[in-house]
Amino acid sequence: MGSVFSATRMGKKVAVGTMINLKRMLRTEFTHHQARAEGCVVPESARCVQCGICSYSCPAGIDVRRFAWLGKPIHESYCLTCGECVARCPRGVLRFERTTLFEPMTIEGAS
Amino acid sequence: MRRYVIVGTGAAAIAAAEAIRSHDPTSHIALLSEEPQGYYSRPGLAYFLTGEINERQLYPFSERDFKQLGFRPMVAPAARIHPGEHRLELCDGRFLRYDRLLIATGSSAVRSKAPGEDLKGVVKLDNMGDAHEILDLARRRLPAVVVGGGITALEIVEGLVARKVKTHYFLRKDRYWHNILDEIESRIVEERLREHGVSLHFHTELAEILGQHGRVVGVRTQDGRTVPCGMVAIAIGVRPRTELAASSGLEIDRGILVDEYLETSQADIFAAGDVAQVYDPFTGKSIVDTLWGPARGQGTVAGMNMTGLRAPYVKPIAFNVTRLAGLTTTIIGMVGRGDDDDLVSIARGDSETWRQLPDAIIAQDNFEVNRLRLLIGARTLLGAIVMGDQTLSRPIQELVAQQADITPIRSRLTAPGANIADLIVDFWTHWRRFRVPEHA
Repeated sequence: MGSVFSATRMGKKVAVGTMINLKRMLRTEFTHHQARAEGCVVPESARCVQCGICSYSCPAGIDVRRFAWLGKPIHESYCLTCGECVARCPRGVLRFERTTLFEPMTIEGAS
Repeated sequence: MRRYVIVGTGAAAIAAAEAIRSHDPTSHIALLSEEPQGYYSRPGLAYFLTGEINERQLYPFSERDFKQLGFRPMVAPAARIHPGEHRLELCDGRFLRYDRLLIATGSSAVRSKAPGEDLKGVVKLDNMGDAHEILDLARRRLPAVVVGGGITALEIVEGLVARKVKTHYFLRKDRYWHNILDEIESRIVEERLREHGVSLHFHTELAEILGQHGRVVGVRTQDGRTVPCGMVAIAIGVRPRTELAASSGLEIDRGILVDEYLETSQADIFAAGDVAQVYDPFTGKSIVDTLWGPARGQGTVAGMNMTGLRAPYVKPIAFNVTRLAGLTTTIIGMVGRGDDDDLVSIARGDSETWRQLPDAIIAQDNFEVNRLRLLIGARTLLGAIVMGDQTLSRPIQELVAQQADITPIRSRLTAPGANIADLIVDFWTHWRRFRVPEHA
């Protein structure tokens, strides 16, 4: 569940430069790329107030908010999983989740 | 063909219309609004104020969506219901016949009692018109005073800061939202506000709003100080808008009293959202919530019941997510203690459930600016506040909502220096997989 937010924050810490932080960064970056490649954006409707920041910030013009209202994962072929909506949502509605298309039910929680 | 009339265009109203349509595809559904804007995301106004989003984006549904679903939006304030005749009287003198009626009129900001309250420049944040008024005043770049507590006051403060307005925030007590947040959490929020140039005035109450030529020029506090400003924003709580129900003879307490099917004391009239006072099995009391999630949930249940189904409303665990001074914060279950002196009634984005005083031990953990506070009962988690990183909020939400038996980790959670985050995640992973609280 490594979000773009945590990746950025970890990245900043690495500038201070300890081995632990480097390891953490590599792990987070790995998770981030993994999520981008293998994941999809999943909303948690109970958190959503339909403000529309997600749809507003989607570079592919996907109406992410509608998916959040319906409580459905963003299964949209145009989705780049760029994480803009995940990062900008002020209420933490959206998160990356691994798609189980190629890995059925073996991994519980990617990170 | 059955005729449904929904008074209001908030989350509860739209959810009800959606539920009605999905169970009664051919009916006639009228959505009555007082505002010409119709349905938009009211919580989204906070982000409209900060400039993160433009006004157009606040409308989740287009006219085409409404047309496709056969909703008939009307800008027509309702005056009175005639339950015997099944007719709704509008303010312009027209009548609407209904078979089932939903009151989802929401809540509105409580006005200040300070003299000068009617001056131009005294604002609240209820609707789109208020947001525009705040933005118009902000363009004058004169200092602003914000009075109140809870989420709405902070949303106004954040909006004004984003618009480069020097902001004075008046608080009655010694810290922000003291009945929900603990001292450290309050201080985190306050520190972040200070970093953005907000002047916090503790133990400060408004005595008078000063005006010249009908406009706000400053405020006088009860301890005799004068603060010059061009805007005074009041966010001291909201009240359910029960006037329509009251004039129609419905039973009212703090909100419109409804049974478990969300039907009022009059047959075929339902109420949902901020305006409804709903029985809460968790506390055994009738509760008024001003939360978006429950409003939507109530709207859905009311809509279903209006079509003739009998679905009881089960109040979920109080849960809200908000942003406090830039920190995403989730408040789950019971975390509060008593009333907030900065609010004369419940604040928007608030739930009375949070005010219950749980018999609980508080465990906490800090991650830089992130913070987690758990309220641990005898065998279950009673509530939590998750500030900043939200990774843990979903596991905790599930554990609180499902009343998971945490006996296996309880003593470790309450031990000094416990790594609460890891304990919770490990326990949740295991609990979710097996869902058997057999360790007890």
